[in-house]
Amino acid sequence: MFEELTLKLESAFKKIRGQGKLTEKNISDALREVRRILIDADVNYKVAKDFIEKVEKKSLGKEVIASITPGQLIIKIINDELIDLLGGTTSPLIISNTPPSIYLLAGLQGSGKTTFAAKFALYLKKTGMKPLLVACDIYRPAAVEQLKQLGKQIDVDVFYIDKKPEEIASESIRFAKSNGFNAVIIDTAGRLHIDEEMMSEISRIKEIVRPTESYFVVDSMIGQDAVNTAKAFHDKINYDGIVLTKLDGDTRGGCALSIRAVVNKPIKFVSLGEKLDSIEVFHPDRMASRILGKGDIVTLVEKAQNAFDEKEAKKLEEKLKSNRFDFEDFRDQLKIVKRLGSVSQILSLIPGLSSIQKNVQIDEKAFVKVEAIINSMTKEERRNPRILNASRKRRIARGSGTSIQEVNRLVKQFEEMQKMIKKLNNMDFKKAFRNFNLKIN
Amino acid sequence: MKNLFNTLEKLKNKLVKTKDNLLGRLNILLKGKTKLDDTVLEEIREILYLSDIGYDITELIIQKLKENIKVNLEFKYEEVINLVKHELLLILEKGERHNSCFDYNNFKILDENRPKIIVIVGVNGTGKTTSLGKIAYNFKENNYHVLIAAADTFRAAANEQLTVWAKRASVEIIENKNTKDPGAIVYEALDKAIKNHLDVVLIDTAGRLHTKTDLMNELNKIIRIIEKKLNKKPDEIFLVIDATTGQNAVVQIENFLKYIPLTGLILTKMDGTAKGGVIFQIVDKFKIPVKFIGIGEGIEDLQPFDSNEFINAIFEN
Repeated sequence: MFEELTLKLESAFKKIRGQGKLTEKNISDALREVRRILIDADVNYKVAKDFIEKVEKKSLGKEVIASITPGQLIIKIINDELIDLLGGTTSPLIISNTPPSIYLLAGLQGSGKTTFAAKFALYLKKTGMKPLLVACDIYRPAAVEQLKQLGKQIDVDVFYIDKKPEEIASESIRFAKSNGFNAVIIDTAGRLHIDEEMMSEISRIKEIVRPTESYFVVDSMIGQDAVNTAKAFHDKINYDGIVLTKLDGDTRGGCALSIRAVVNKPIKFVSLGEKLDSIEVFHPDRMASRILGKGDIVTLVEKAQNAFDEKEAKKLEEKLKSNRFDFEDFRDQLKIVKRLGSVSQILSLIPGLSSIQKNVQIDEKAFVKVEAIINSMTKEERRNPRILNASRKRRIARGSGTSIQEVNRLVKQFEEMQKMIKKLNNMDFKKAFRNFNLKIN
Repeated sequence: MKNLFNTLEKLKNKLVKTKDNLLGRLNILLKGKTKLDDTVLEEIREILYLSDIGYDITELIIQKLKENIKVNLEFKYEEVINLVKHELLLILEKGERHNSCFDYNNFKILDENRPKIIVIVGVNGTGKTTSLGKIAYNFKENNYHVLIAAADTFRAAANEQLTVWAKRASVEIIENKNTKDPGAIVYEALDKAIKNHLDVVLIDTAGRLHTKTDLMNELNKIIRIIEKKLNKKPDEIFLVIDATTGQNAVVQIENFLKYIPLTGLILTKMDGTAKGGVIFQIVDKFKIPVKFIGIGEGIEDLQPFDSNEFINAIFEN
């Protein structure tokens, strides 16, 4: 299916090849295909239509630069516009000045609230907070029990009393205050947005606990109805953010775009897997690639991006050639890799690789550590790693929350990389550059 | 015996909770229009897309409309509605398959072969356990001996949830807190069913995303255990789909089919505003029938699916 789409897109792009400017006429086929891609990704029809109009407006009259094809130019415009619509940058978690910070979760049945509650608690715990989970779903059989068991798994206390949800919630805040919890996560029952009784219940809970932030939790596989539910919940409790769940499947998650467009609230977290640590801060750029589709289309986007990054690549090439590659450049490279998404996600995006990925455990944390270590260096140290002595390394280890051994390992790996670059510089340069990239990945 | 008329009324009442109803809006749109011009066609297209019917079927229906109703000339709106209904019905009928051993309108088992095995599968959060509880209740109401096998050993408190449903339906449940192996639980349930000459074994499985190879293999293993033990395939393997699901439902089924056969679909959460439009594509593509729809959290809120009724209900406004 995706191959077919890419073919259509490419043939649509062919029409604009060799033309100097983007015009209404020469981009209409391409835009129609893009609209189909969006609809297949479950972007709301109306939202997709508005989006295409916007892209059309932005495209018209754009001059096609020699180094890129018109198709790449459109894809670039679409990608940028998508990222923009998805929120541009990552939205930070708000923590209350007067503890406890209170987080309220709401959503439809089966959207993954309870699992997310536990993941979120673990996430907060890792940042050094002391979270309390609150079980307010008194309706679904064994929902309280589920939260209790999850709490046990992550060693987080779960609050529950045999009362109405409103009372459980308000009691829990008192309990948290007097027992030194500085974060309270309130899990509520799944409810239909047209169930007035249940909707007033969630609105009452919100009134009572006055959460620091309230989140609408939504299954990323949801279709066109996403806008109706997102809007209804928004009208009732005016939530502060959105949580997308079950993103470890292959849904393209067009609802992210639809919901943003309708309620204009940031997507805060994505939840992607059965393991309780599989929670991530939302990255608009990754979501954009995902909505545009798998494999080939992402490659198109990347090609376009690369074309735009060519200047930077040239700069890097110069540095490599003159053996001036330092930790600053290393960090830039890491950022480029990260911009594409997490490594396991990148692998999963490559058609045919998802089964292989099963057997390969990728340590995403290794990347985080490497970046933390580099970030803890001073600019001087990054430019000139040779000055890294024992006391500097100790400071870096402390600053990045790693150990001296880990810092040493990175420095050693880096030195070896430099040596290799030097060696390869004497050979065919292009080949060397490719190998180098491979090494980082 | 259930009163079919009541069932129908209940279905309609539940489905017509909102004016946003799938194609009811088509009625509103077309009343007062005199010409089927591009603007009207585009509005019809929008309504179809907004109900998750998807690209291919939407464009097919638009094409049929263009072929059959003269563009820009006067038209009767009933003609348009009927044509859309007809096309959608044709699609659902592709899935209709006669299963000789169950009559779900009355929850009767039609032959002597025992035990009957029904396996429930699906991705996370679609309503597998709730649906299973409702099916158990219905068979039990007809005095069949029903056994539930709690083979979701993964999700926290899945056992407890199913136990509550078993109690509500007053049927027995096999759960084994000492094993994490769903195969072992299924085996134990089958053993018991054979020994005690039970009528129906309902097997609840853990929610799993279709992209998780190991979990999908586990499902395949469960089916093989049943085949080996009983020398027959499970009588039903139902995949549960949440009516709010978008185009990913098609991919889900494609993947499940790579590991296990499916005999029918259960479309849940039909009491919301989403109307499960994605099933048209699914039935069209895989020829798997929809067997039940779930219209609420109550134990009686499961209805046998009927194509005609379904289409009539979604056209109400």
